[in-house]
Amino acid sequence: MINTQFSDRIVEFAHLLRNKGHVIGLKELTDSMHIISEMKQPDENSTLHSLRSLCCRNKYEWQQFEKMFTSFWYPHAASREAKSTSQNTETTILKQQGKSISGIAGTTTNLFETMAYSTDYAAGKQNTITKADFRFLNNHHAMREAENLAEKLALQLKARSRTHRKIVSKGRNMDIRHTIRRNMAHGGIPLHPAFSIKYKKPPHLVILHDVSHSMSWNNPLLFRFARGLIKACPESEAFVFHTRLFCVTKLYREKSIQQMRNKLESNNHLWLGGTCIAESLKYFNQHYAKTTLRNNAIIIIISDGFDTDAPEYLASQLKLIKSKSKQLIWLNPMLGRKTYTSGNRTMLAAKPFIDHFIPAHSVDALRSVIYKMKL
Amino acid sequence: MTKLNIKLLTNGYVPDTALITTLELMENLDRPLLIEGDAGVGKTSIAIALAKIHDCELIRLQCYENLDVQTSVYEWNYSKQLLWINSQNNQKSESDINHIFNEEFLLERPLLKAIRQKKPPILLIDEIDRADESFEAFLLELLSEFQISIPELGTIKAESIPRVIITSNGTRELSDALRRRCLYHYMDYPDRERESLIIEQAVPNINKKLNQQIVDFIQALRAQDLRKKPGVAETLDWSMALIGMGVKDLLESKELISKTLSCLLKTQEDWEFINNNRLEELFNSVS
Repeated sequence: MINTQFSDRIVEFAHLLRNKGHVIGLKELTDSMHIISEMKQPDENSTLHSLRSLCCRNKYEWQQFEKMFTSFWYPHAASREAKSTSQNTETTILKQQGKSISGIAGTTTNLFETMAYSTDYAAGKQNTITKADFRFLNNHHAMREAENLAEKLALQLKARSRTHRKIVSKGRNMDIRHTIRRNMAHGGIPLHPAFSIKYKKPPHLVILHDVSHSMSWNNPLLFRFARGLIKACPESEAFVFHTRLFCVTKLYREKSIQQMRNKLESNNHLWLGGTCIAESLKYFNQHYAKTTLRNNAIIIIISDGFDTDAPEYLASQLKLIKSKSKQLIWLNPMLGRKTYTSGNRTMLAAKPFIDHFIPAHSVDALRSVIYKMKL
Repeated sequence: MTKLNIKLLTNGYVPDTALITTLELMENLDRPLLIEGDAGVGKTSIAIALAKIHDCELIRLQCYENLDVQTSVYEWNYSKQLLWINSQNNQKSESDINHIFNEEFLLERPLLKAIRQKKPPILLIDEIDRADESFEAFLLELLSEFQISIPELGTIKAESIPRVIITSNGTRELSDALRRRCLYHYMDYPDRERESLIIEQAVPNINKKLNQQIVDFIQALRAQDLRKKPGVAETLDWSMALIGMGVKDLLESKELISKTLSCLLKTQEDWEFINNNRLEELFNSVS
């Protein structure tokens, strides 16, 4: 039998976990109490492992749990451990303060190889890499993880456009189940056969990705996301632009990420320069629109909206694109920042043509893109 | 060491304490267990070992895209139904037609088979992340109520509650509804001590020094920035390959080792990365 004081502590712990993003319902709570009360000799390890299995739902919660458990139930041990960890942990370096920035299409291994995990990294779900602004992820491992997650997330689009089955009267593959059902009145003799056909209609995406200097903090994440989208939708096309526009669909289809990075960097010499969004879109409209835009196309523009061209010029180009496509989604990494104001003239000019204006600073922010696409 | 720990060890599976506790919880609460982790860390093997321990049937459902109810739960035996209808000499009534949708014409698929066993089996739903979301939704009834609804027959309740193990490689996000119905365990790569024990169990004729060197090498290899890190299965393959080639000491057979790396490195990219830059560094980590 569990005493009231102890059950109160468990409830408190459940509240702490909920605040950190864990989903703890009544079932989890009662099961936790039941399990602890059943233990003949409860010790730190068995309690930790039991509560972890009951209260965690994914890898990140699993990895954070031990720290939260120790700091709640054994605060003295936790503070000792934290002290020694902080002595051993190298000073965290924010990317903005560092000497150089991450690579174009992925994080540069050598730059962050020596950095230790930030102590904040495991502090709670709010601070995990899926929620964190990519430009503030300050170690190589976390950045790589976020990039991988972004690509995996984009691949979920494949599941949304999964194969469907349809029962029809003509076809190649007879559906015995439906045929028998249909012909019960004829004693099972298949006078009216039923056929099943499979069909898959992946969305046709056109990705226009700004790779100018102002986007470089978030681009490693966004490149992987775009690559995932292209892999998930075989008929899609991807373009990158700064002052000029290039088609990069083939590069995104490279099996090796390293090869994709190398080719991206070697093929384009004006990375990290200024931005001419309107001029680049005009180039797209002149050379690629005919072959890529169609009434079921979903256009995804990835840009922070800093443009050297006139806003009216951009509006006219966007109007053309919008008129030939189904949906226009604008992903803006700046939108995830608290300091962002919607006073940017470029974005104000573009707004009437945008169906969804979505932040793109973190993996979680990108998640909504998948579900906002009209498939 | 708990009883379960000893039983698993005797059946060739080396668990860690967290897994043991989770398995005990699974027994006590009759809840399914969702195990996530990279490929090759031993997620499927635990189900096989549990089946041996409980001396029960292991029913495995391998998930894939477009897996549907007909393949996973039940199907009607259509040819038998047709034969039966034709044997009735055109004298069919409503009750005859209902007759063809009963147990006699029902084909059991893994999930239905699992809940109709007298002795609780181990039900392994492998790589759930490969199946569609709709299939995941279908599983919810089975995992929470241990029952399956068949429109023609009604609801079939489990005769005994199976021990359900669901594995996922994390290629897509699973629904919260599914996660909430399961206990959760994240299976990471084994630490040095556990990996050494695993090798000792699987390759009993290996000498201690070589065992330790293999563990050192593999652990250092996993710390590299590889696309596909070697799992436990790869470690065992490599150990057996080295034993087969008569290697007694890794450091004395460096050239031979580099030729056997195909057991560990499964992509061209990783192969080039290790062979060009890091092989010597890996040998330095070997004691």
